[in-house]
Amino acid sequence: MNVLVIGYGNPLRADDGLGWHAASALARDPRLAAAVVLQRHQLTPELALDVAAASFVIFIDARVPTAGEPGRIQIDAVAAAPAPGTWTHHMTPEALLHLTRRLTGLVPPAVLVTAVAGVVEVSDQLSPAGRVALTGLVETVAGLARHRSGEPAGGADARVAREARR
Amino acid sequence: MTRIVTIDPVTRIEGHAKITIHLDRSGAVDQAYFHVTQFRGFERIAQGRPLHEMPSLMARICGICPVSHLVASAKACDEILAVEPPPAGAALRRLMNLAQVVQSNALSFFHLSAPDLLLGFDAPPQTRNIFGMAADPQLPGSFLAMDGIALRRFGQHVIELLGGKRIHPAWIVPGGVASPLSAATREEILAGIGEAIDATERALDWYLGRVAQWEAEAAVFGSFPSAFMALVTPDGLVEHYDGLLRVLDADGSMLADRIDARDYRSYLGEANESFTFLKSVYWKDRGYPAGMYRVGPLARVVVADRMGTTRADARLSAFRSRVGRVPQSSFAYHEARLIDTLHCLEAMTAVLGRDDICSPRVRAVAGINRLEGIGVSEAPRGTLLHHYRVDDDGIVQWVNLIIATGHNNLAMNAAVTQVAKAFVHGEDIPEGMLNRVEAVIRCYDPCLSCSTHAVGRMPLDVQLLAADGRLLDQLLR
Repeated sequence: MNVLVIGYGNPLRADDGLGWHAASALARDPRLAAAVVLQRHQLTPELALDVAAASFVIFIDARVPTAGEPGRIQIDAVAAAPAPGTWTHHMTPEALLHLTRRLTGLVPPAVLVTAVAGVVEVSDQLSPAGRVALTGLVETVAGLARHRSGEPAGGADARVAREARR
Repeated sequence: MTRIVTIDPVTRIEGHAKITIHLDRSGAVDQAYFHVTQFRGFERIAQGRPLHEMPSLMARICGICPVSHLVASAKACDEILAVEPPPAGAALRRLMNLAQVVQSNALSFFHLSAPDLLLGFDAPPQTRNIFGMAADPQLPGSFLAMDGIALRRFGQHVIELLGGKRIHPAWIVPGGVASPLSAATREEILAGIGEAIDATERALDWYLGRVAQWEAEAAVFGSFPSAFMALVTPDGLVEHYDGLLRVLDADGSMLADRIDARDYRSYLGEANESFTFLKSVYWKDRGYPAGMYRVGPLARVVVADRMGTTRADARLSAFRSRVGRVPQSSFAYHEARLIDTLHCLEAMTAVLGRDDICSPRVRAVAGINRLEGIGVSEAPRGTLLHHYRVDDDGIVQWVNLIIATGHNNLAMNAAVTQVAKAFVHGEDIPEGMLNRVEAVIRCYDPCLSCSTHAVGRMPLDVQLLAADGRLLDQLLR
């Protein structure tokens, strides 16, 4: 089971960088020793090749402060979908999966783990709520990765195949 | 009545710009202008900063080609320190710069320009991007998209392997590089070069198989005589890291050769215009604006006697057989960019094959020994110059930067005027004209701020204005 973790965000905008900071912590976490952890400022087309090589993908990002109580963590399944309208730097996990499927014919199952940001002003420090959220993000993703890594062979692969046939 | 057509913003370039097309009383195009509407001010920001901060600070100019700024800046710092990097340190700087040219050229050709070439200049802008290229796995666009993504990823990965991160690595430092190359990293990079070369060769074959269908565009895509300038080795081969400046005139004669970049002010003038924040650099002997010349991958393959690597030389020979030694059309930038990429990949193999490439001696250390330094390198888009003056404590007092897009500014303005004259007739604003005016700018792969580039963003606001400012027509996308 090849688990890929992509944490992204802007660490110069306080809690917007939660995914970036989480990837930094997870890359050193022995519980994810078997996973590939990538730390990025944003999603880019080049990541399609990493996604294609994975059997399960975990995206980590921050949600805007208006999305709820700061620090609240949410897990959502992500399905491949074309980028709405134009395509810019603001590439979404859905669009990245879509591009991966266009290029390779395969797309692994994926989830997006998010935490609501407390502050997204210019700062290289997380807010107090952000620091709490970071711990929660790391534990949540580590749990997901461990669960997926322990999954019997064929489970996720079968989902990949089913997705590819759509 | 005089009218003005405005294209704002210009898309799929690095940075923000707009184009205005000025019509004369008969409705014919009189002149077009390429406006760079953003101001960065790095030459002032750097004043008062310690010299050792300069490479990392200057790298922030650009998110696409930060390594070229690192190289030029570190070389200017070397001169102020009066040091020469150890051979392995210089070779590793060269290696990272080559990787950066690969990834940036891949972005320019595959991500930004290939959608126009593959899907057509008149294809809907919503699909004229790398997603549209990958729409059908059976079509050539799919392999082009895959190869482009893989090639860019390879170049970025090499930068990350060497410098610890893909953008703004603080690895190239005054005196050399911060850490030596491990044998494992050397092998990992070497293992990826073969596939990267294959991808580039596939793209060249694809391009050459279709180049005849773009003859109409090539005839008006900045097709005019001009000089070309780039770095070459003392033997006249293509050079990206060091070397001497060579300027070849439009008729193939040598305008200047073996110019030490430290003497750039004797040869290059810098002019400012009120309509743009981008300065225009010109060949002093010919004055402004007659001293127009071009830089970048097309200039590199034009001015050099040879590329100096086997595969790239074979491609260069075919290129010259087809378009001559000094082509006029800026459309030739596309093919030149791929040949340049091929050369960089071959050159990376050569650098990694050096016996001393894993030497632990990669950095020379010194204090302030001179008060002025000039560094030069070939950025993906052309020749890059950094010029610093410091005080006795190494505090930066004055900075002058000439980036590739400044060298190309006069040529880009001439190019958009030529395209506009070919496609704009009367009061209509044909959609195809807009696409082509933008596409000719993309030939030069301009780097306007590099940190605020817009990839594939297609909103356009084209305005037809009367001389008194009244809006006569508008096209929004």
